[in-house]
Amino acid sequence: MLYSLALKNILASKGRSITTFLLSLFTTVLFIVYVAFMDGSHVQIIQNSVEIYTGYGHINVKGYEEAKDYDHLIEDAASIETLLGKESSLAYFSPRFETYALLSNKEISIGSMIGGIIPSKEKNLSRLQSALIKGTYLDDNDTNAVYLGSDLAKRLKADLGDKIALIGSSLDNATAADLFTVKGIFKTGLFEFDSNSAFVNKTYLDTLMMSQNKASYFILRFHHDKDTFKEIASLNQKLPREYEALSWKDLLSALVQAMEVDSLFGYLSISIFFLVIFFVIMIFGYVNIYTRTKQIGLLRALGFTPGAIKKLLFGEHLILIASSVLIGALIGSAVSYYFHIHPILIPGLADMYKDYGVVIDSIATDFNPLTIGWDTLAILLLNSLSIGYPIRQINKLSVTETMRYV
Amino acid sequence: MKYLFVWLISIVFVFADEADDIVKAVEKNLRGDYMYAQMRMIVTSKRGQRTVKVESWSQGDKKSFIKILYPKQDMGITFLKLDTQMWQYLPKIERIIKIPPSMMLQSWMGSDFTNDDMVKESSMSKDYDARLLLKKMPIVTIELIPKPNAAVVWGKIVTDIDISRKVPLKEVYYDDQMQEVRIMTFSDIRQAGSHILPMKMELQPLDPDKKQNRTQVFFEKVNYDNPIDPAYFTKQALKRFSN
Amino acid sequence: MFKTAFQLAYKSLFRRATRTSMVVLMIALSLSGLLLLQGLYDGMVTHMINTTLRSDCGEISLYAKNYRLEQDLKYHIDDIPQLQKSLDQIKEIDTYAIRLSQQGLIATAHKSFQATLKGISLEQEKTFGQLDRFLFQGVFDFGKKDENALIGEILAKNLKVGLGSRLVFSAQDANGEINAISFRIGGILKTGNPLIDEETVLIPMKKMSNFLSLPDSATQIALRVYDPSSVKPLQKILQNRLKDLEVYRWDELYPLLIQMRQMMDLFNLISYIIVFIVAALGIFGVILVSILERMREFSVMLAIGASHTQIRLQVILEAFIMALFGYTLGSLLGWFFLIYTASIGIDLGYFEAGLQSFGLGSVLFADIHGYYFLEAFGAVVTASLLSSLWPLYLLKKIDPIRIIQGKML
Repeated sequence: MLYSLALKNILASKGRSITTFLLSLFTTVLFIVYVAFMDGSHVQIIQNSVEIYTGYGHINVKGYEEAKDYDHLIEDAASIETLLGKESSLAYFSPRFETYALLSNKEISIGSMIGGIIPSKEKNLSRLQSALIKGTYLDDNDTNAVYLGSDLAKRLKADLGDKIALIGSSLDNATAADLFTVKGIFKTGLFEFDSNSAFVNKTYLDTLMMSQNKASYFILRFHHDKDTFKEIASLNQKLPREYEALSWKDLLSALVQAMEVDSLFGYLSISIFFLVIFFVIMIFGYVNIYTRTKQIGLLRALGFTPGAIKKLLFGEHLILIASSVLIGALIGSAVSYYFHIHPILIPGLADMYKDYGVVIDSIATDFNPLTIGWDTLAILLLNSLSIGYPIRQINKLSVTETMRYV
Repeated sequence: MKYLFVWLISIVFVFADEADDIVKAVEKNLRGDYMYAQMRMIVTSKRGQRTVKVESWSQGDKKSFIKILYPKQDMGITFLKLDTQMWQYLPKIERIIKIPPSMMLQSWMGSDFTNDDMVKESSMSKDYDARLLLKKMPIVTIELIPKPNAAVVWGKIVTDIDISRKVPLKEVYYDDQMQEVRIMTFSDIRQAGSHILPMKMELQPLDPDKKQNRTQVFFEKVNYDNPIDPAYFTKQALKRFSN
Repeated sequence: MFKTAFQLAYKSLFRRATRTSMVVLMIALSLSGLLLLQGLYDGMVTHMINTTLRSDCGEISLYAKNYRLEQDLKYHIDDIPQLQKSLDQIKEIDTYAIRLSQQGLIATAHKSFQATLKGISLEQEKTFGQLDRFLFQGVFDFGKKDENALIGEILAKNLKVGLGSRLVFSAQDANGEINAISFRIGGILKTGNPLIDEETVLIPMKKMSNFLSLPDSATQIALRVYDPSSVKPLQKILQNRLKDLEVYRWDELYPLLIQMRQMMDLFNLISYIIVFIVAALGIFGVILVSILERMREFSVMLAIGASHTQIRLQVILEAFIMALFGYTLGSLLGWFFLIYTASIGIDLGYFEAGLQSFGLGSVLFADIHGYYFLEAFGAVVTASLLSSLWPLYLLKKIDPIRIIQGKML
């Protein structure tokens, strides 16, 4: 009986019910979409940093991260390759060989990171190819071709077609020197990277550096980027003792923390939104109840206990709130999903930020049902609480007081 | 009492002077005015062993020219050092490259010596204050503490010297915290013309992850007694004497 | 008339004390939160800009032509004494710092890193940007014989060195010779500017000039001005007077900082708009109900000769007074929060690495500006006025007779 009464009451005071409903709906949608955009921008920034070159995961010899030298190389890359070939969770993987060498163009010599990559595999693992701004990307048959970072090219005063000398030391400690023609120039937007790296087809670099069947590390990409941590953990179980698998969280820990700081501030802002919305719903609940003081007095006079009235009012509120929050959650999910699939393109954004190491041309949401679930629950709880105070207030009044209430 | 004090001080001074003189004498003996040498360098690392043969011409400590004779792939690579600058010629790519500061601490030809070790005029007598620690004729132990403004990374060097033949036997290099960083030992001391020198040197780094590394240098031919053609110490020489 | 309306509004607000206090509390709490947030964001950006200006470029920096691009000593500013004379004549310039820097390799017996060695004058840097306040360890001094250096905190950490450690720096001098120079660490600086903290070593100017064989020269001259608004005109003046130098404003050297500020401002604006739209809804609810409840009262007032304007005024005043209470309480609370965070700060040590990548220290300090409170006042008043629009429209449709007869709208 209480339920039908509650429903009738809701329908009776349409204006206020609709306002409360809309308010709660708006809150829910706002909150879900806000968090989705916030997470989305973080995912995007991290994705960018991860995908430009670092990659979602690495396998290297223990100690490589501390000392990236020839003493910490994967000595038998083929065995790791076979091992990884059996991993069904892996979508792509590829060995990389990184060394430090001198690049020299005419009078200018600059020490730089030289990466030996397998160009065709790298396409699916990093954005080196799409960062091309001049010339062409490497291919698997390239020999004396080098793919230069844009700022490194500037420092070397080198352009397409120029012959650049590379002088390093090979694994057997002999001097490795060769001439490379600049085939392409890339710009990722990460200044450090663009001014300090050059890439060469690994197969050819290996003959120069005597690094056949060697790798600095393997870069990994799983079928689902979200599973990275889980898969990295399980890889660590399977790998021989001297190797370790690392996820992007280990490789880019400062960036991850920077995003956490940003989230912290994001939640601070959203908590202010919450606060004000909490009050508004409370005000509406309060007003709603108080305009019905007479009716409540009547119910009390008819023998309803304060407990029953509490249940009635709370029931009313809950029906209203729950339905609006649920619909809000659905709308919020739909919006988040939409902008997840169709990021908002902001023309000029990429140009604006490319110089500062952020390569973003669009803003997308992060569609995560679990996060949405938690968001919804939090709002539902908060909105339900907001009615507690008005109900207590009304129950404090005596029957006669309520009857006389104007 | 007073006399004892004066006497003690004078002993310290004498010792200090003596130590300096010893270091200078050893340097002078090893360097000579001109030096031509053929050396064999054996580098041992985790990756195995590697032999490099070089020919070198030098005049004092300012000028030197080095040519790689072996292994085949490195044959003809030449190095020229004038004062503090170093150039390298690579016959394979026919280019002369000036070694930039950023590469100075990279290993030289895969050895435990750095480019910096090759270039630096770091002279023990110039950059260090010498102090006699122990005298056990004919061997003295001398501690070398860098002078306040000397541009050297070592905290100190402790060296054993055979003063009768003016050759070092051992040098222990310490870092700033006075931890041992590398040890150099000298052996097979022989007469070479007007000079006596150790024909074998061995450098052993002590960093934990370089513990297996060794660099040994054997002098196969040494000549201190003929002046060297100044043509070696020009940039043109890099290419000209490459083969 | 105004007085009566005011009194009536005041009284009717107090008759519904619970409601009123809910609205007041709502405004106060959300306002104080917004103020705090604004202050914190501003504080972060100001801090970043400040440390950059203080530790590096000032409001304006002078470079020799091509130096910024090539970073080559070939392009240096020479004849410093002459230049100083002309700088001293420009009245807009407060102080300046002359620096000579070169990239090279810094090494211990174990490790080496790329680094920038900078010759400076401690006195100049002290007046220029209070560089001494960035001292993290040790002393802000080069020692009696200029034998010490100051080093960036992260660089020291990477090199695994501390106070008193000996370092050797090698670089090319003006003649292309590779030289080395050694010094001991006398102090460690933590500025928050990654360029300084990660790769800079500071030594006395004189020592640097000798090392590079470049007497009376500089690679950068950074200027501080008295009045921030004079930066742009000053840039023009300098460009005209110093034809062979490049003159950059700080926002040209660090455009990211300006964009950060703009983004933060935009974010604050959006937060304000959302919060006050919602708050306006709350005020609206309360006013609407109080009008509906008092339809009879208003009708009586109209019947006994009060004008619509008077009633409208009363309603607006009610909204306004509520807003004012909320504003006062919120500003006080917000002011308190801001004073606290501006002086004591919020310690986020847990996120140190993350904050460092933003160029921030682990303790965040807020900014306080008078205009925060003005903006907030504007927002509160706008919200209260907006929220009374619909109720006023309802009032206009009032038909006193029907209402007094008991027939509601």
